Amino acid sequence: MRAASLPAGPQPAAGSQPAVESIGTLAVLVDHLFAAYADPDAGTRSDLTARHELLRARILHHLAGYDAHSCATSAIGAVLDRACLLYVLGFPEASLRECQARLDALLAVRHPGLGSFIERAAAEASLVGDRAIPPDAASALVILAERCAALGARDAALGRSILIEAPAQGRASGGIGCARADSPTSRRKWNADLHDLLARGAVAVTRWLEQANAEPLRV
Amino acid sequence: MATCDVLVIGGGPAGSTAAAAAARRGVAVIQVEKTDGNRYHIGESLIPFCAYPLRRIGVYDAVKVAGFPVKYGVQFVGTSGAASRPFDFFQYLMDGSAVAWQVWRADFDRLLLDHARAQGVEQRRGAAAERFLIDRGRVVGAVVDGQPIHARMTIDCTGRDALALRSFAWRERDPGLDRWAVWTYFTGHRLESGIDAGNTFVCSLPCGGWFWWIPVGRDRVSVGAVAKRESLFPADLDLGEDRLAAAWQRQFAMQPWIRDHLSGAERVEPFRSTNEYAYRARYCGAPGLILAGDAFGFLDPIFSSGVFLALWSGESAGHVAADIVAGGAELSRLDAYGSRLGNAIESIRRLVYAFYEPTFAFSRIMARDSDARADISDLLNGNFARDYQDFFRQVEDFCPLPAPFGHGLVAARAAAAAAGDPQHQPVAQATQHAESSQ
Repeated sequence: MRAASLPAGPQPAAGSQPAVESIGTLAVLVDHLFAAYADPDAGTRSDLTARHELLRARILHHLAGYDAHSCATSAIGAVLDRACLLYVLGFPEASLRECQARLDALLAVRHPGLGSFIERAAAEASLVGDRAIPPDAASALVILAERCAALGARDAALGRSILIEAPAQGRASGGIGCARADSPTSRRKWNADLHDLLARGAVAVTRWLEQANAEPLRV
Repeated sequence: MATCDVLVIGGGPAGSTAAAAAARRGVAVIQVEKTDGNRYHIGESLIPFCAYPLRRIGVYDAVKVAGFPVKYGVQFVGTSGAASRPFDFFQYLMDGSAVAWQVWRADFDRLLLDHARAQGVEQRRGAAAERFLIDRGRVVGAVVDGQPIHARMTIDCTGRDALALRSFAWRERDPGLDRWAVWTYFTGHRLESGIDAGNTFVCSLPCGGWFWWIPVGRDRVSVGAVAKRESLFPADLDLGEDRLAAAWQRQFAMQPWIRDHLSGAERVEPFRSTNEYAYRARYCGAPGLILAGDAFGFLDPIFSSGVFLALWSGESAGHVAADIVAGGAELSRLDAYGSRLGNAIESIRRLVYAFYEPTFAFSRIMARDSDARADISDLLNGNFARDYQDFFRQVEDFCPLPAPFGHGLVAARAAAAAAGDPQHQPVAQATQHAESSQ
């Protein structure tokens, strides 16, 4: 159920009595779920805090109009919660793997005949009509699928290079293809826009859950 | 003489939901409520599945903006004062209904009552139903403030006043759940942070009982102790003049989490108590009569199932009544209603029994089977209609579970079976008795 306006995201002042919300906002939910390791009182702003703020801003931007009494709550609180937390903690590759597992499980229900995350994401992006998700969310799925495939290819290549080029076999460490070489998809490539992709992924999940209309108990 | 299709007796959640559901089907409904609509009531915690009947009768959006504190989940606190991880409803319920509320019942009940009136229900507030009208074994209405109201179907939603249970001697107590409760309200208490601020906390006591902690408003929390009578009111202990306060204080002293969160808080209401903690009607209905909400049965409130069962049974009863008024087969519909309601209560009843067993702990079940967290969350959500056989088989490894509490059938069906003629419409034994004693 969509609300009329953007959630405000109130932050209780330190030491004050926290209030109980009467209409749940996504901002409070996001703060609660992903801020466990951020330390806003630290003298220097940590990477954790910065990533949390990035993620928080993009989720609230892409899910503007949704409140906690909507499918967005489960999208960020149950389906993509671990992926988001791994991102905040600074494990982008693990976040991508988690993202792939959760999104692909849902996509497999929508596209049962297809064999890979990339194929299913592409099929989702090609949908039009009632089952279509917003183009922004669809393109995020395709990017995530491509990135996960690249991650897999990088891991496979790395494995081969370690096997073939390992120093124990007489090669110098740091040479072509060895474990220390920069991968074709560097950390920056994994991480730079992951907060935005996760938020757009959350939009896709929210819409899928809405379309499923999984009201489990009827009179 | 007043007449209607459906007479709903009671203005609580069950009554207002039944009245609204029936009125939305286009039948003429009269609803009577003994108060003017302002009524104190215990049972302040909603669970996610409350959203469905609230949506279906069209009142969900009004509840959402009414200012009730949001409840994301439930947490259990051990006798040491350590709290569990929250059972956040949204982790297992993914359709946007996962966030519930804590409600000040006077406000919540009035909101539902006003909504029922807006659906076309004719309401008589401040009018008390005295007895049923019975004609040839069929309930045909009730006497309200000395005046008869005739109805094709009557729905008893009289809550703990339990008009049918008293009239027909249908009350069956659940012997294993004979608990008492003593409760009051505080302000100036300490809340958890973030989304946990509105959670219900179930805090275990060394005596085997528990405290509830329900933040019912921005500045008010409901705190109640539930235990066996001998634990709350030991026969060998002089509790003084204010027995309720003394009983509550004794348990309060034994729960560190409650003590900590009430440090510096101020009590703002008197102590209250109840001892009617688990009962069920022998029958869910009879010709012309359907029971719903607490008028049908009540279960120990540890998992906050009461308001949901009231809403769900009220809505179901409203539809069953509308079906019968429209010419539907009465006994088969009452049969389906009774068995569905009985089965639903049975699932949560077994979990209540397990909770009181000293050998049972949620953490033990989940340590062995991580999927059990989903089952427990489903039960806490209010998803009582699904199959929990696998889960309870595991629970039985830790503690014994009760035999089904086999009540809630249809009076007329039981009488028909006894008469050996299921096609016959016999007079139910109990209503027969009530009729002859009028």
